[in-house]
Amino acid sequence: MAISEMRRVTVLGHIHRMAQVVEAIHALGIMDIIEFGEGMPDDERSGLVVPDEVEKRATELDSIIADLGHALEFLAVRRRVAEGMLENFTGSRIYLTEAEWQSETTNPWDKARQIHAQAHTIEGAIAEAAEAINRLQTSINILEPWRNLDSPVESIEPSKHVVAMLATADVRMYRASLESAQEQVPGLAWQVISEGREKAHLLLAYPASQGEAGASAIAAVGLDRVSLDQFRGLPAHILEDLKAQLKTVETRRAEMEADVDALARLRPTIYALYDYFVNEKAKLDIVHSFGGTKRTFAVEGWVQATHMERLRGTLQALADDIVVLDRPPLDDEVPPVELTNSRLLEPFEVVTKTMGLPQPGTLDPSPYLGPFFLVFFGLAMTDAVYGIFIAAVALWLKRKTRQPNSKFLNLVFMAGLTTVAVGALLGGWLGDLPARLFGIRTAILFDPMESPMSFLILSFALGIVQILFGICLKAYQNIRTGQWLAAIYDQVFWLTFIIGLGLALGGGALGPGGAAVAAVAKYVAIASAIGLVATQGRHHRNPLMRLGSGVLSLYNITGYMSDVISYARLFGLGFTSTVLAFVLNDLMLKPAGIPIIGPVIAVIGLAFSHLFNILINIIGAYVHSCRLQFIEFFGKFFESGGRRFVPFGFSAKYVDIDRSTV
Amino acid sequence: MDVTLGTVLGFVAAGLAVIPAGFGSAAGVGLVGRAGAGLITEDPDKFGPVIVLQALPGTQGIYGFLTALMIMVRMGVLGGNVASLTTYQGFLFVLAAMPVALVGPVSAIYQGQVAAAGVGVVAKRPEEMGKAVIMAAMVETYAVLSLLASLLLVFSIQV
Repeated sequence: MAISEMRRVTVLGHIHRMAQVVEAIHALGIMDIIEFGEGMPDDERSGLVVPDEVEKRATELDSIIADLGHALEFLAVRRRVAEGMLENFTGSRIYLTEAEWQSETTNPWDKARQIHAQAHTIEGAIAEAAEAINRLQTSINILEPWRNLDSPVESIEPSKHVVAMLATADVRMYRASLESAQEQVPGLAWQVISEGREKAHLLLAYPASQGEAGASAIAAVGLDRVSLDQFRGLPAHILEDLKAQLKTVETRRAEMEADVDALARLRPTIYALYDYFVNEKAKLDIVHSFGGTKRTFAVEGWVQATHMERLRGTLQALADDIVVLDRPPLDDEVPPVELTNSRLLEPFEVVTKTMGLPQPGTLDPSPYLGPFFLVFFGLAMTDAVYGIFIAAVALWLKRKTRQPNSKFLNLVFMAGLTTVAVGALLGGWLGDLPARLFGIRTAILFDPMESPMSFLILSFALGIVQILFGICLKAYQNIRTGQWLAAIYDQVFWLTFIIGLGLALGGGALGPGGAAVAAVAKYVAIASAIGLVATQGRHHRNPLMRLGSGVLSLYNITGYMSDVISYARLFGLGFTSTVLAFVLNDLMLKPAGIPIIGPVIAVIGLAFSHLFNILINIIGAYVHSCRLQFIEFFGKFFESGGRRFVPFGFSAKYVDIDRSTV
Repeated sequence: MDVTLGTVLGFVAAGLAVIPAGFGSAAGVGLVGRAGAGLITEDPDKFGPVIVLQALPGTQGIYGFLTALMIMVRMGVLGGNVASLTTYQGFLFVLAAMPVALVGPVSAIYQGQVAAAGVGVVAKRPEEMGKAVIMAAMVETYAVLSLLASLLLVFSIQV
């Protein structure tokens, strides 16, 4: 129940066993592989020379992974993965049994290449069709205004006697333009082919004797010559032909959707293959951190002590010539950190890991923060029914996401149960609904609506308990490492000082005998303060500096006070949820008096409004319960900075495999 | 009910509690939303973490609303019998609303900025999202303290 003990492992073997060993370590997934000869001078460490064929295979894998990734991207644009609201939060993953995984990943190369070819073909065909549609549409747009031209376009050209041309002009001005052009080019004739919204489309003709002067006069009045050289024939006929072509291409394009559908149906296979190849690639890449000679290889890494025999057994069963060595970490080696706790306590590791891992050899705070976290969460929600709801949702999510061992969901489930208990103590059953409907007063401890100050004091009291507990943990840690004096100077004095000061100031309120307690506490506080002044400057040599920093250390009491005040957030969150529940009940029960539909409206309104209250409170409840651990509690003893234990093993982006169903 | 100046001030106090904090939360939530929408266009799977970050600066609005509710409860607005407050009582309610009215909006906007920066964490190192959330929650401490101050003041006013 703490930080796992780690063993430093070295595996040695003949080079032709290497692939087998990598395969076995990958399958076990219990060894954190590190760079061979880490910390050794470069000339002493002998890295494995990775054979060329391994590099070649790695390149092939990279390319097939890229191809499959490309196919997935192509599909992502064309066919959305049918996602429910839940997948928005969990990400889209597929679940496979071991057997399904095996069958998806047999003949992986053939399947992957075929999928790539299929995707490539469809993508090419779609692009080609899009291009053709675009081209045809452009031609149609150009020709459409000339539909009524009753001679083939290639016949509109300058001849010996007449210059004929097509032109466009501004639809509002063209008549005036043409008339002024006619003055300069006698014999100019025209026919209006069509009038669009902006342009008029015209057929012009003038005697060839006008020559260049005619062309420039026409340009000068704002008529633009249009060339339709790329077409031949009557515009109406060409248009009919183009439209027929367009229709054919569009039909073909629509048929391609069926191909995309077919590819989309292969998506689970693509997911499986993608993850399969990524893992194959990882198995090749890992050898770069191996050491070796021409004929041998060596792997170094860390294994949890409890898994050591499994690793040794599996590897030595492969062949006689594989050597597995293990030893505890040396003093200058920093092992990675993994937390091990009982089933009941392991959900709290989620909270610890959010902050970061403790350093090797220090305390794992998970078991200690657990009860506080749960109670804080419960106080922030303050409603038994909300607790039932949260616990039920956690159970449902465990089933739905097929993560029966999810530590996070177990944590939420436990937090839900604690919320039921806290809600019952403070009388929250959908707010004050029982009191409104049946006149039952439900609060066992106190009702936050009636005595908010009790709630605030409860929050502070919990804060004081947790902070003192944190100081005790630090003392325990100091004692464990043999630093008895540090434990007395830095923790015991503070404990007695805080408790003494608290009782001296508030002891009088304890009832009869309180005054006596306060009097004793006063002397305890004074004695502790003297102890602190005498010891807190002990790292200074200069006696004046010692005294000075000893006195200044008493100022740290403000730090403890602000820590305690920070627990007021529990009251803030809990009271918010209580008051909102109260007001929502008030509003939603108003229509209940209306005959027949009134109660229906009230029930629906209450359901929605309490759901709303849960939603706006649950994030704050979780986040602030965490924060109180990280800042106020961990600040007293936690030493962060542990390196995460990352065993080399199967990791997947899209696929979850249920190994239990083998 | 006699509408006195005190009653009018009581209504002003409820408004003061809820309006600036609401503005601030709207600005904060909006800021995170804009940053989050940018991330969602790249990676729709991050919707869950983003929505958690976006919700964080929303609490100041709730705290303001809560303070307003408590003022209303004290004045009897919810029961339907609005008390006729003296001018001093009305002023006291206005003063009681001040902590949440001033600290609420400012902390909501700053919290929004931290949470919007946290969207970057979710984008690049999703496994460290918890830390981004905690950093944003650090800002909220001061909103909680202002809520506490406002509530204690509201409770202390004799009506």
